[in-house]
Amino acid sequence: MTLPGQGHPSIIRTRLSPLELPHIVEAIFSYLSQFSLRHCVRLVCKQWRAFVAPLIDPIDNGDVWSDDLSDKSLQGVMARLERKTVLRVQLRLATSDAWVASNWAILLDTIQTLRTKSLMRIQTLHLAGSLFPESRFYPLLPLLSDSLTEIRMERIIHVDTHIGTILALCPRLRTFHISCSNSTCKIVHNTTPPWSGTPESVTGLGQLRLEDLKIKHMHIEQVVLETIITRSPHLRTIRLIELTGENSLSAEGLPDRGSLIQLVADSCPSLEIFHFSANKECLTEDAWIGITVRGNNNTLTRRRSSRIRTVLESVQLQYQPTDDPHGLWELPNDCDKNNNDRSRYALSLSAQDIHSGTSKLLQPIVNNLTRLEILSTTEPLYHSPATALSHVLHEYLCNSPLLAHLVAPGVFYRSEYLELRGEVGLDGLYQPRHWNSTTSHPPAGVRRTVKRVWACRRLQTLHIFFGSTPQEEASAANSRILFGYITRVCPDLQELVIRKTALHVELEGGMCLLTRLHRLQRLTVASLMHATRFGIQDIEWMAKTNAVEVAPKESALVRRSKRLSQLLRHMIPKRLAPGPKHDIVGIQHMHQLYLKGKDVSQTLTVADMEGVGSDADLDAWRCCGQRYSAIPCSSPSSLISSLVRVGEEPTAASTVEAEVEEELGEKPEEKDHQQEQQQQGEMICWPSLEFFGLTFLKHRIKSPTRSRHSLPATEKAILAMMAQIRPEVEIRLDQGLFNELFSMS
Amino acid sequence: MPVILVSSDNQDFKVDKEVAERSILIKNMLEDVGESDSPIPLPNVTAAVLTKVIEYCEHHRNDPVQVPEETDDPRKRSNDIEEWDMKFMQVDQEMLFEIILAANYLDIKPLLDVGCKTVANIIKGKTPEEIRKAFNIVNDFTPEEEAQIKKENEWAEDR
Repeated sequence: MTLPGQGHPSIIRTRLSPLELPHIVEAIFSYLSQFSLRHCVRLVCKQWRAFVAPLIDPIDNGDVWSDDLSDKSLQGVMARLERKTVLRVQLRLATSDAWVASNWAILLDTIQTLRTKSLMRIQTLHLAGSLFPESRFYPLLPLLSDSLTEIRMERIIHVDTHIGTILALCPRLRTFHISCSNSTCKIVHNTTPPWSGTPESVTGLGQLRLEDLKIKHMHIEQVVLETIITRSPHLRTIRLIELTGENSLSAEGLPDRGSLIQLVADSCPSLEIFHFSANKECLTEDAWIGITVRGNNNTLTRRRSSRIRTVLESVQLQYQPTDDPHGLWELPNDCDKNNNDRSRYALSLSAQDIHSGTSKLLQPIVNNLTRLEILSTTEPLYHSPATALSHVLHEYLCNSPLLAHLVAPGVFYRSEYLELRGEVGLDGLYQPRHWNSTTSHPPAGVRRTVKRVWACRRLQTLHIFFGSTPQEEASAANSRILFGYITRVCPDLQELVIRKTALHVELEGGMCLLTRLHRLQRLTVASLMHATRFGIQDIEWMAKTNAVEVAPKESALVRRSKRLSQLLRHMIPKRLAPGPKHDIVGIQHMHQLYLKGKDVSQTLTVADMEGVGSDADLDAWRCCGQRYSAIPCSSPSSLISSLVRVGEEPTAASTVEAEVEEELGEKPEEKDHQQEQQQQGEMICWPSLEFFGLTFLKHRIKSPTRSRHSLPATEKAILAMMAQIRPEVEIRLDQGLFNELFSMS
Repeated sequence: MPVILVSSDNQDFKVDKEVAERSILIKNMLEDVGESDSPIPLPNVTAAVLTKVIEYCEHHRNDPVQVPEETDDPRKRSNDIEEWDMKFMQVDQEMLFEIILAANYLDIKPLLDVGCKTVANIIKGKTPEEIRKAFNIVNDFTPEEEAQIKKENEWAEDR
């Protein structure tokens, strides 16, 4: 291995490279995904392969153990268990008790054997299903206690869950999630044996290592919560979602918000997110909400311990909104919005808590948040609360310049709000393009609003669920506007999760516009997608175009020419290749608007969003925005002539590009933009992409699956193509149920 | 009380004790020698690198002392670098590596962490060939060995 600083062997090297120090290399690799370690890092050189070897987890290919497995399947799952870090248990209510008992006995025996041989590696236990057989579940925990750091229990139906027992039996637990499908379920704090045969060593709870706690749709008494919270000083996230009262029909017996918030503020100095919502009790105007505030560094007014100390502030919603746009937390005079030392404010709410009584009161708070999380309820799609919430979310997005993370995966956001081609009515309110002017009715589910653009220019994380009118839903233009809008308004996105009832993912749908998001690391798209016509032309734009650079001694001009000709030959999909009719001025204008959008310190106006997602926008992406803008062009004529020299016909596209660059090349500010683009690796499509997920949702499938063997042939072919185009990216194609769109909390 | 640090190229840097003590190495040295005006030699750190390290320590002078994290959770995030730190780390690769080595030598864990995250971010999204190119590493695998590893990956995922 040759590293920087190494030269000729005869020269004595005086400096080490940090990449030669094992503990530093291990620290670096600990920030990389398992996929990256397995598929990229260990292929770099022999030394790196050796460094990586102990860090690679055994493969988890999604095996599920269930109580109704046949003998043959059970044997296979058990045989692979020693290579697993995740144990997925599915409770299916098998018809034969004897069968269930036998399967559980085999599972326990296998785990016991692995434990005896010190081969137990299971860190995560996923338990999903119906009846919760405590007499079988609790004896499992001591066998896993040495390695178990995460328990997720979903859709459990059981009267009492003994959280004290679980926490006592699993002292290394960092993550505990439990959600119930039956609102009569309770969590009780019991460290005494709830079943026969408990190990005698179970004692009361000491200090816990819990960092992530989520309890959904269950009853838990205040005293039980307090016990857990006071013993868990490392908690980073607490999500208590739709808690139920003692009786599922009333709110009686719910923990008290105010005192709980105070307790959390005092007990959990590392807290980043706090969520509390109740099933039968919406947030009221005088209720308390918990906002985590993480002070940033080095401001003189802060005390020594303020940087990573998290303070949970109790904010009364009785705050009277004023005209002051900063609302509750007016920024200090010396701290403008561009200042690096902003504090971070995070709030997590339930969708049902944002209603007519609270939405406006929350606005000034949301204006100052850096992270907003809205956890969904199961509201019907076109039910009026969903419509109102969509409008409120739009207002929040248009008023929150500081927002960096929006996680609202189940809030139905109408994509009509992104469609800015409609007229403004006499009352000053916006009428979407599909507005029925004869009846003055907006499209179903859309509320009239001021014509505005999202203010959250610094978004890094966006989890959102789009919907449109049924006639627009699956159109390519609708998808293009959506992708184009996000790209132009939020150029700094690092993580993007889009869910949409129907989405056009083929090339005409404009997902390629997302390649302008140069910081994107994770992209997930879930939709009812029809992939039957999906082909290589629909994904080849994902290729890293400059993955293989030419030899360094070649002149810049030759390099440029070769690259351009290569692109013209291979990368421009023929069906969208610009023809002679293309509007050069329009393309140039789109490109300039796109460049303007890259400056996130500027607020975008409706005029700045002109033509977003249009054919011209797509042409600008192809000719200027994505592939060619980073190629400096001293002389357009030389560019064309060089193309001719390498044997390429000057196509319409090259002419368009040359003309565009001729226009842009005269302006120094555009040169600056070009330099900036080069620095950010604009020539590369998604240079930092780690994960790309496509979930094809169906109305009916046998069962949701992550096994590639269970995918239909078309999806398998897409997966193979993608893996070939981007081998360094973890690509996952799933099938999911349509209903999953509405249960994303 | 100021402390004088001396770089490997014999330049003196006068810094507040509080700033210098962001380095556990220096903190321990100061505790060992007690009250003294003697300059502290740092033979492994050049003036250029020491300037950057002091800039970092000045900025983070009021940070609480980091509690060592338990390391049995392998999943860590490299995209939570604070904006100031991210800009601070926008240096050429040679300087980046020098800062990491200095942070390692001086025992400044937060700086070492930020350096490692920055390198991890460089690796992210790159093919093996791109990683080799980024760090000037020679591929010492034979084509057969490379093919074997790829085959192992396919085999493992196809089970």
